[in-house]
Amino acid sequence: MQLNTQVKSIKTLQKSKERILDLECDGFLFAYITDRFDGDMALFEGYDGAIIQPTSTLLMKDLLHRFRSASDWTARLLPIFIHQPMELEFKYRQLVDGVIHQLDQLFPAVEQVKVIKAHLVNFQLKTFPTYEKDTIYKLLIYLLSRKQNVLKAFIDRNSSTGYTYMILEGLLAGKSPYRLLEFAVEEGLFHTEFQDSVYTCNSCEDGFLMYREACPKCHSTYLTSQDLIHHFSCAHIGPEKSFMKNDQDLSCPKCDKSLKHIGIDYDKPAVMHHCNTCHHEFQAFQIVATCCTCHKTTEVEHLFKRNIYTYHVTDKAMEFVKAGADFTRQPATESNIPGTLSEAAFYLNMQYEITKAGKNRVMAGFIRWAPYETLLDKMGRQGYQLIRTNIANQVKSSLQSIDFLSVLDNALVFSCLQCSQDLAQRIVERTVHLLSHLIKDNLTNLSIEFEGSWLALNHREDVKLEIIEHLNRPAW
Amino acid sequence: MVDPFEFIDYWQAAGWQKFLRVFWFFFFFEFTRYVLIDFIVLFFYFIKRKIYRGDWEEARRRLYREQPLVSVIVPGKNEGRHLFKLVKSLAEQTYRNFELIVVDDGSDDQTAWIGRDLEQNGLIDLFISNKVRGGKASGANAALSFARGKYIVHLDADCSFDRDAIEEVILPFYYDEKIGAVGGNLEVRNHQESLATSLQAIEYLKVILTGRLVTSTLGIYRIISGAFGAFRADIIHRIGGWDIGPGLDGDITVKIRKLGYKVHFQPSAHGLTSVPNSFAKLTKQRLRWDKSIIRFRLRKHRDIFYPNEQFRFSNFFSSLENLTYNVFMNIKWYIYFIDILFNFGGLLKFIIPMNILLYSMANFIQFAAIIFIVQKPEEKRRLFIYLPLMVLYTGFYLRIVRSVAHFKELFFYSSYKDPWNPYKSSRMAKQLGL
Repeated sequence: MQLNTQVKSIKTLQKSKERILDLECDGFLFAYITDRFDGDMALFEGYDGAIIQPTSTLLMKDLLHRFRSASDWTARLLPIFIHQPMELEFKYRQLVDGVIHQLDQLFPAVEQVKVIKAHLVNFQLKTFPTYEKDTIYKLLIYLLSRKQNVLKAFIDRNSSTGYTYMILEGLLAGKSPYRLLEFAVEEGLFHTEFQDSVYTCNSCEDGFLMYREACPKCHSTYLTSQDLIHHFSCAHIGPEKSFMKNDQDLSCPKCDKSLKHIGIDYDKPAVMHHCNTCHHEFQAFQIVATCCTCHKTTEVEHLFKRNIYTYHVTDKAMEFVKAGADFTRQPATESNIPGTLSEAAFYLNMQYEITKAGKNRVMAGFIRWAPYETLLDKMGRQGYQLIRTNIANQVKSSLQSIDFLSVLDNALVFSCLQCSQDLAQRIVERTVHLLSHLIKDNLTNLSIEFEGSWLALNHREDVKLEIIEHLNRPAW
Repeated sequence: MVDPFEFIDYWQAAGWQKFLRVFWFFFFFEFTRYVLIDFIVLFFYFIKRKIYRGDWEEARRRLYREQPLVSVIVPGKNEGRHLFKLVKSLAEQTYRNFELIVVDDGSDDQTAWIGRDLEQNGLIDLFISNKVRGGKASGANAALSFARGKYIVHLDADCSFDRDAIEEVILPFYYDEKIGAVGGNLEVRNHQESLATSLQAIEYLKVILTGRLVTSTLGIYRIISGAFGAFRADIIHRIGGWDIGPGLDGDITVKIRKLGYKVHFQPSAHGLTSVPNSFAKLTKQRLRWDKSIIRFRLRKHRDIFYPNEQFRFSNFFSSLENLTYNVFMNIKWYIYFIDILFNFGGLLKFIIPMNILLYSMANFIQFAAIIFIVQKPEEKRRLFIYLPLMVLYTGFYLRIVRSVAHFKELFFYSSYKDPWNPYKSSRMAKQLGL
């Protein structure tokens, strides 16, 4: 079926000389623009769709991202079509609603617009005060209005992790999508399917790393390697250099015999590497990775491993956007550990408990660990956060359900409600013992010293001050 | 079976002259050397130890003032399963300033992987994995090439050590600067595993603890066990490290003695080792050990007996005692055996039980003395019940194995065919007469 397409009007933008060509087809109005369009997104109010004529992939991608991250729903959800003779690269298809090969054949586009509009009628277009919630909601509306149920990651050299979720890239404006998607999974709006795993810098999460062979002692890459020579008749073994005579001949430094024939007089059983910086001798290199963004050099064992998933929209998500429902939990912030309180919330709750207890004392437990700077440097921000989370989970398992805790940079403070001083002491000592063993058994190349303390909080004092003062004491 | 009363009556009637005539081998050689001389020397040893106690304490102070770097080297093939236990026992040492170098000599099991993992986790300072097997000596020399310590402690991977073992084994270097090498004291870890290991446990206590204490006191100590020995690094570098084995530990001790340095046995440097748990495995091991006496003492280091400018009486007696009691006495025992068979053939029913009685008695006296000086004597007491069997073990089994080994080495140079060493090395060693 072929529908008649008419050019209705041409608008020229004042600043850039770019134009919007209005095309009407079967009562639907399309804006025809090139990918150089840099005008206001509000201009698309009243259009049923947009047709982009690409001049370069980069410009097209940028423009598509501008549409999909637009603040108003109209531009964000506007059906967009690409006008080009060839098919569109697969990874960009999620950002557009179709490809138009000829302008006089807009029927498929019109049909797609009808479908999208029909879907959108069922959804509640609302906004949320938190960035994470708002982004997920908008993502869902977009995907479901296009009947797209899958969010797949594509390899992309421009992405910091090496993988990109095309539709999210526009929505996130450069921010990492992973925490957001984890939150959506926790809410039951997506389920995951493993796609790949990548290593990223443990400090800045960048995936562009330079891998090098380095000295295991000082991480220097200024290394030289040489064979070990084994002289059969006297059993002497040493670096090839020690056997060199006149730069050409080999002579045993132990027995002065000349080594003529490999396999008969001698062999080379191994290779040794020499660090020219610290003069360490070794056989196994330490592979290190230097982050191209933050320049931090990390042993590969300490890189951050991230699983890349394909996300599938769940049935619950459909109901969620139809009802315009609210999220059930708060998204975790970067330093937030699930199940713990922020420092301020901890003081507030502790104050309530002290007031409630009246003249009875309320016990608090403290655990701190060292060396903070070394750990942070070695493990990176991500790795250290993982350790903090594990410590918090271990402490949580030692507490009663009514107790609460807060994790600071290198310490942890928790309530010991309904505990005597003796019991609080026992909890702290047992937890320190457990943590020490946990770290010793699982992280053999890291040493963390734990110490614990307990304190009966006085209802006449300022709780916050009392706790901070206790935490700052050099010795407990 | 002889009637006990008839047996007693017979020996009562025989008189002491006949008694000595029949048991001359026991009284003139074995009892004199292994009981009488041992007791006299041990008596002097304990007196000397008491007198010089202050000097030993001063030596310890000097050691701790200097805190020299010690290189602990552990060469071996397919020893991966022992490595973790070894590094754990070394991690407990009272002396802390040491580097641990482990050499994997072309293992075909998981040793390379285990060793590398321990190195990456900081439990081994340097792990050298040779892809091609070169033999024990080459493994030790590979470690020596990269050792930085002032003293080299050579260990076997299947050993574990007391907490103060390293401190004790390097202590003698601070007691007497003429000491060039120190042997550690090894006992059997798996002595409860089988009859073979129980008998070896008694043998180790007799030969290593008592025997080496005596030879060390007499200045003729001749073998620093490869399983636990310490060496001055400058000396060991001077002699070019270890030569091709088997018997490389005895060989290096002789080389150090030849340079004029003393070799000392330190009973307080204590370690445990696993010994072969069956007689088949033990036979294989002893054939190898016994061949080395002929190869090294009689052939390679025969110049010890030559009156040249390097001649030293202590070295002369050290090798002479070794050859006398291991080679010549072995031959003499057969002469004794023939003598008894021809001259007293009809009296074997009286002679054999008396022989067993005499040797058992000597063993009991020896072992009772050992119990007084050994660590954890309560654990060793159970070995008393095996003492009667020691007559058969040392008197027959070990003697026969030794005879076979000497015969094969003397006439067929069979140590050069021993698969313990790679063929490429043995072939060259034989060609060069090493």
